[in-house]
Order: sequence, then C-alpha cells, then structure tokens
Amino acid sequence: MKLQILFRNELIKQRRTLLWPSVLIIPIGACCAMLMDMMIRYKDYLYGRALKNGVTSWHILMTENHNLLGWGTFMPFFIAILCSFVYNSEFSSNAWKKTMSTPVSKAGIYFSKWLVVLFFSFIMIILNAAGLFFVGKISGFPESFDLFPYTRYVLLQFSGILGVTALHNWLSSYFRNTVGPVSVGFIGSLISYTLFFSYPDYSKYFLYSFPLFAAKNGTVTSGDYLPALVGGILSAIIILIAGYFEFKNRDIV
Amino acid sequence: MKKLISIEFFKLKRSTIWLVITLLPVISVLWGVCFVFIFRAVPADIKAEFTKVLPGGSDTWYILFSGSASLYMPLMLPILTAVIMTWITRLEHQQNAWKSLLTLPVRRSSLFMSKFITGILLMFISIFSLSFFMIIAAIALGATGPMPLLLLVLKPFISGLTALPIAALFIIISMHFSNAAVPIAIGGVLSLPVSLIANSERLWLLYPWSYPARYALGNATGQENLIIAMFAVCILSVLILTLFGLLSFKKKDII
Repeated sequence: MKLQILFRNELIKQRRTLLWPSVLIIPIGACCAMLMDMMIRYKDYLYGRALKNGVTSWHILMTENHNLLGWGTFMPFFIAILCSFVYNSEFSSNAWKKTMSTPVSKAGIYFSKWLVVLFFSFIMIILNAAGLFFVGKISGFPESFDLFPYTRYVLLQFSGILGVTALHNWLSSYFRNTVGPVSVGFIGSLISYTLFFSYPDYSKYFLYSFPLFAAKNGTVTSGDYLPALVGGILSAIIILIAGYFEFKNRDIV
Repeated sequence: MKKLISIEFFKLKRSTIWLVITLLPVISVLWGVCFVFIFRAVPADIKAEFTKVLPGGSDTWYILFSGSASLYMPLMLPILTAVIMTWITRLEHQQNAWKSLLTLPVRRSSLFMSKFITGILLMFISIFSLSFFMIIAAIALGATGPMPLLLLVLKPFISGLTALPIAALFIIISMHFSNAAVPIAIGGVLSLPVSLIANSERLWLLYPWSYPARYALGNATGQENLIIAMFAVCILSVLILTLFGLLSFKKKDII
C-alpha cells in the first residue's frame, strides 16, 4: 500500500483523539505566555536590551520564546507526547496483531507513523512561529517584521527535531507503557537544557539538544545552527534505519 | 488505607518510576555543581558583587542549592508530579482494571485516597533524593561551615508541599483520561510559563505552578503577606480538589 494512503489512514485514526487539541493548545499556550512576557517586560527591559545588543525586538522575542520560555528545550518532550498519542491507538485497542496481519508492509506502517509525528510537529512549530508574529504585532514592535529569520527559525527547528522524532517513533512503538517514552523525552529535554547552557560543546552531540541550536542567542551565525541542521538530519537517518530493522524483525504477540 | 497504599507500592515495585524520580534530582544536582564551578571561576570583583545580591552569599551550600533548585523547582517538579500521578493510574487504564478493582469490597474513597497519597509519597521521595544528593555533592565539593539543613531539607520539603495543589489536580485528570499522554501534555503546557511567572512581582500568586519555584528561590523579605496567601491558596485548593476528585470518583461509572 502506498505510503500516502497509510499516512492518510493514520491521520483519520487521530481525528477524534485529543492529539489535534494538543497540537493546537501547546503552541497557543506558549504564545500566550510570550504575550504576557512582552506585556510585562518589553517596554521596561526587553526593548532596551534589543537596542543595546543591536538586534530587533523580533530577535529578542525569538530568543525569549526559544530559551527563556523553553520552547526549544521542551520541543523533544512535546514530540514524545505526540508519539505516544500516535501509538496509543494501536496499544489501547490491542490492534498491533491485526495491523501486522494486513497485507501492508511493515516499512509502510513504521514510516507512515513517523510521517504523522513529523506532520504534527511541523504544525506545532508553524503555529508557534505564527503566534510569535501576532505577539509582536500586539506588543507594537516598532521594527518591521523580517520574514527571513523566522523562516530560518522554523526550518532549523524542523531539521533539529528530525532525530528526536525518529527516536521517539521507535521508543513509542517498542514500549507498551506510554508514560515510559514520555518520561525519556522529559529527562532528555532536561539534560539537553543543562548541557546546552553549561557545556555547549558537548550538547552539539546530544540528540535532544539539536532543536536548541535553532535560535542560539536569537541571531543564528555561521556554524551555530549546524547541530540543528546536520545533527538532526544525520541522526534521523541512522535512527530511522536502525529502528525500522528492529521493528521489522519484532514479534508481535 | 495502609494496606491499599502498600499494594500501590507493590504495583510499582519493578517499575521504572523509581529511576525517574531519583534520576531527575541527580540531573538537578549536577546542574547545581555546574553553578558552583562557574561561581568559583569568576573573578573576585564579580564574585563580591554576586555575594551582595545573593542572600546566601558565596557559600558553596547556598550556591549548590540555588543551582539545583533553579532546575528542579520550576521545570522538574510540576511535570514530575503529572508524570507520577499518571503512572500510578496507568496500570488500571492499560489493563482495563478499574472494573475489577471497583467490584472488590473496597471503598472508592479509600482507593482514591490511596492513589493520591502514594503519588504524594513518591513526590516527596524525589524531593528527599534531591536533598540527599545536594548534601553528598556539597561535601564532595568541599563545602565548609555547618550543614544548613533548613536550606537543604526543610526548604525543598515545604516547596514540595506547595506542589500539592498540582498533585491533587493531576490525580483527577489522570484518573479521567485513559490515554497517559493527555495529563502529561497538560502538565507540560502548564509548566512552560513557570520560569516567566515565578519572576513576576505579584502575578505568581495566581499561578500555583510557580509556587515551588517561588518558595524555594524567591526572596521572602517584604513578601510575607503573599507567602501566607500562597499557603492559604494551597490548603484551600488541595481541600477543594481532593473533595471534588473523591466525589467524582465515587459517582463515576466504570464501563
């Protein structure tokens, strides 16, 4: 069966679940927090900091969202939650046996689920970026909106999460206990936070830290974003292939 | 009740929740150790400035506590509470065991309370692990002077008490949703703005997720009334939420 049909079927499975509300609420909640932050600190402190650092308010907003609010830190945790939603439908209805006995390739099942996770992660990232645009407009930023840094921010986040989505796609398929992989995502996010801010050199090699490099200091300079770009893509390829071979040889009992 | 709680712990005997609740404090303490190393590396004049600002001065005990608690209280504890509460109801949801459990000659209120108390105990085991690892790390770092037990044990313990409203809310949510991802997702979203709100002057009082961070790290001087109000909110909300949870669990149809 074509991957496209499997992907669509996976989306249909999620139609009446709480996955959609979660995908909407997480970035909206983050943007509400940012709006509150801007209302409290923008005029008194953040705008002055932007002028002092020679950056625009839009850059400051991106940094606040990514580092202070913890959007970049918690991204892997949210992805772990998305993965549990996607795989919960198979585990809760004990449908693995049935799914595996249909004339569908295991590769199709495995990769369609990964694509669904990727799709929902992308929606979350886009909604967050769009929400930040509205936060900036509502807060009355004097500078005009520069689309390029935000497009780059979205794309770098997307490449940064590739490895994490691949890992959690496998973890959620492997563990029946959905809380387990989510806890791994939570712990991974916290380790990434500590590494990124205390040992940035080591964090370049840590899968969960890759999304954090999408907006290092709000001004992505050459080299800073490489872990998000190269690390994310490379780790995704390796983990996807390894995960797929394990999934292919797994007995579903 | 005692027996029910011991059964709850028996269910968790071989669970990885033990790893989660002890590993998180270790990560926090490692973060605190980084703080100490960074502080020791800064030039003396900057250190003197820090000492003026920090209420505990340049004391290793205090720096280690500040560093560890700055990660544990705003980020870990609120989400960990959601994870723990989800974990202790997971088994019943996963094996559809609510039915058989409720047909046993056990009062529903006792069942609810045993799960709630087990969750709280796990939460405090994690908090005491934090205190334990902080003490070990501080000794290893060569901290001098008398051990400040009030700072390392009592303060985290009281911060844990301020997280009880979150625990009461999440026991209700996790009993309601069979999909474990839902309560954890809610916990994650609600924990996101904690570091922003906990730093505000008065707004934090409206947001119970910021209480542990505020109590552990905030300066109480001049904020005594707000702190009292915080404890009042905590006690009231725990009572209301527990009562609500009990009543809804008693009335709930298990199909």
